[in-house]
Order: sequence, then C-alpha cells, then structure tokens
Amino acid sequence: MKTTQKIFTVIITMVIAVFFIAGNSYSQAKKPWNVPDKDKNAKSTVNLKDAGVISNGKDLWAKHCKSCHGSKGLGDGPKAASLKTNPGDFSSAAFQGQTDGELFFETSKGRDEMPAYEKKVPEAGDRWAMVAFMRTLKK
Amino acid sequence: MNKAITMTIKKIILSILFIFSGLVVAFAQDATTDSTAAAPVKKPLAKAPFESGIFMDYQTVSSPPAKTLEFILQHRFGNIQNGIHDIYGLWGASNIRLGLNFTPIKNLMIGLGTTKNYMVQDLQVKYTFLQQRKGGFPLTIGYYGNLGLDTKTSAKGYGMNYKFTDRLSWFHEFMFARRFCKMFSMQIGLAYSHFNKVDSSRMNDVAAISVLGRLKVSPQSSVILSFEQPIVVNYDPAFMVRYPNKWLSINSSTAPYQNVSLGWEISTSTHTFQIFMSCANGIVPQYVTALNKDGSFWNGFILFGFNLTRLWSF
Repeated sequence: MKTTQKIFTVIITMVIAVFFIAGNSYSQAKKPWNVPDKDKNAKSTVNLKDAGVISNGKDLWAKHCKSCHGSKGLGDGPKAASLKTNPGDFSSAAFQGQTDGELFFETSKGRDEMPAYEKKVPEAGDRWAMVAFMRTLKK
Repeated sequence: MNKAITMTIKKIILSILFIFSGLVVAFAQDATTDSTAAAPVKKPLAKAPFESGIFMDYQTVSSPPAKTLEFILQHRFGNIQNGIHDIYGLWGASNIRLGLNFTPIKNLMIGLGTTKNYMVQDLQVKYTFLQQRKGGFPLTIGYYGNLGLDTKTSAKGYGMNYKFTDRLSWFHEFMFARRFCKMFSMQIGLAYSHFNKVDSSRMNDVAAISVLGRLKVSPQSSVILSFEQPIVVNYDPAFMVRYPNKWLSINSSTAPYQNVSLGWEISTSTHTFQIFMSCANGIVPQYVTALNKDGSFWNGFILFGFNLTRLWSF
C-alpha cells in the first residue's frame, strides 16, 4: 500500500473513532430519568409565574446550580468541563417539554454527579422556585 | 462617665429581654383556646438571615440543614502594626482553628475544634428554637454554647493549686436575628463568658453585646460587619456591696477591648468564604470576648483573617 494511502486510511480511522466516542458521550447525556408517575403529575405549592418566586429561584440557582449548569442553563458552568455527565441545555425544547413535577423530582433527588437538593434546599417551596426559574431559561 | 455608660448598657440589656419576653407572650396568645375553632395555620418560614453559622469572629442563628457535616478553617494573621516588616501581619504571629460541626436534626448543631493559641480544644452546641416567619414571628432566636480547654498553659505562675478545671472556660450566647429584606439581615447577641482561672490583668467573667449586619450585594456576595462591646462583671460580693454601680464596667484596666470587624462573604452551595479585618485573634468565642487585650481598634490595632467552610450532605 502506498504511503499516501496508508496516511489516508489512518486519518479516516481516527475520524471515525472520534465520532464514535463523541456519539457515546452524547448518548450518556441522554440517559433518561425514571420519574414515578405521581411525581410527574405533582403540582407546585407556589405560583410559578410569581415574580417573587422566580427571583427567589434565581438566587437559589446562582448559589446551587450555576457552577455546573451555567448562568443561563446552557450546561457551560465552570465545573461542567470536569463532569462525566453533560449537564444539558435547559433552554432546549426537550428539557422544557418536561412537566413541572419532573423538573421538581430531578432537582430534589439528583443522580450520579448531581446532588439531591432536597438535602441542601430542604424547603419544598424553594425547590419549586428553582423550577419556576428554570422555566424562564426557555429559548 | 463610666457610671452613665454602665447604666445605659444595663437599660439596653433589660429592654431587649423585656421586648423578647413580650413578643413570646404576644405570639403565644395567638393560639386560640376555643376547642371548636380550627387549628391556626402556621405562617411560612422566612428565609435564613445568614448564609452560614459562622460570621467572622461570631456565631449566627443559622445552622446547616439536618444531616450535614461542616468543616471549618479559621485563620487570623498577625496585626498590621509592624507594617512591611511582616507584610502587614501576613507573616506575623497567627492563630488558626480547625473545626468540625454536625447537624443531627434540624436546627441543632454540635461541634468540636482545636485552636493554635493556648492549644484550646473546644466543644460547641447551637440550637435555634424560634424561627422568623413571613407575616408572623419577627425574629429567629437561638442559643450557642462553647466549652474550651486550655491544654497549653503551664501550671507555673499559677501556683501549686492549679488544677485541671482551672483550664476550662465557657461561653453562652442568646442570638436574636432578623432578615429585614432580601438584601439586609441583622443579629444582636447577648453573651457571657467565664474563665475558671485568669491572670491578674484579666477578669474571670465578661459579658458582651454584639451586633452583626449583612448587606447582600449580589446573589452570592455580601458585605459583613460586626461590633462587640465587652462588659466586665465583678462578682466579688464585697466589691458589689461597696461599689453597687461598678460591678459592671466597660473601661476598667481589666476590660477587654471592643472588637470591630468588616469583611466580604462569598457563599456557594457547598462553601462559604469570609475574608475580613478584625481586632481580635482569639477565634474561640470566649477568647475573643474576654481575652482581647492585644490592642484597640481605635489605636489602629487591626488584623486580617479568613474563614472557610465546606459542607457535606448525608
């Protein structure tokens, strides 16, 4: 095999390998949450459209969430690069298409690298406020 | 002048206790005695007035959530009076405390620590027994206690009768805090410290009034400031009978200096950082309140320090 053909083969193999690894990484971010039905349909204990609730949620986001999820929920916080899991894009239709109860459950219970915020933010009303702020991140 | 100030301080302490007892009675009377009426709905809790249980040289009414372990690193540099010779205290005589706290149940914190100066080993407890509510009870009220053991001081100089119990010191404080708005919180503390044994330049018993204030300037950052006025308590019965208006004093030769602190706080989900200037390097509360004799803020005695906490939730 000529040298140029060998080089071309190696490059093509490397490109395929990169896409394969990236594809696997992307698929890790797509790991679904197992949210029980009763939690999917849970209703907020606070008014998610209230400006004060959203402001409270924004403050809690800044303290607890921004370092990984970024200030606008784009998954670009300073710690995001060191995480195994992609923090996700909270402005996307896929994320915003979840029910309020699903967002509340995922925030409260966490998984893997994400803490269970029911321990750090014990008041349910505060966690609902964080859900209210997440709704403002929609594109 | 001393008599007038002492009387003023007594009036302030009695007024605060009177107001507190009045508030407790007033809100207790909210409970209906009519057995046929529905149970009153509790107003929702207000947000915590402070981001951390530690506030420069002092404690706040706040504790971490239940089942949280907290590691605390407290460092005080030397004072700035040597100027550039020790880079304004950066490489001067320092003090440091390492501590661990745990919150087994909501509002109850227990902890222990070890401190460089006097090699103090301390145990502490904090309990928040009343919390501010939106449209309801206006204050958060808590108790903090500390027991310290001086493991470094030699018995020499204290004589043959120096016992283990002479190494013990105590600190008790009732704290009254209020979150006035999202941006501003304040706390008043009424404290009492006791050393079983002190040298002749100090008094065993020192009370104190402290005022803490936090001004939030961004979601994670605050300006923090505090002021403490120590009050020497002379329990000698003969002295109290002979000088009935002098058993509390603030400017006797044995009175500790006031402590003025100003700093910056940054708080995240798992960490709190406080960097500040202060006038006391004792760190352990009774050492801050009762043994602060190194220099006066009004004479330029200032040192820099920082606190760092880290939380783990279980």
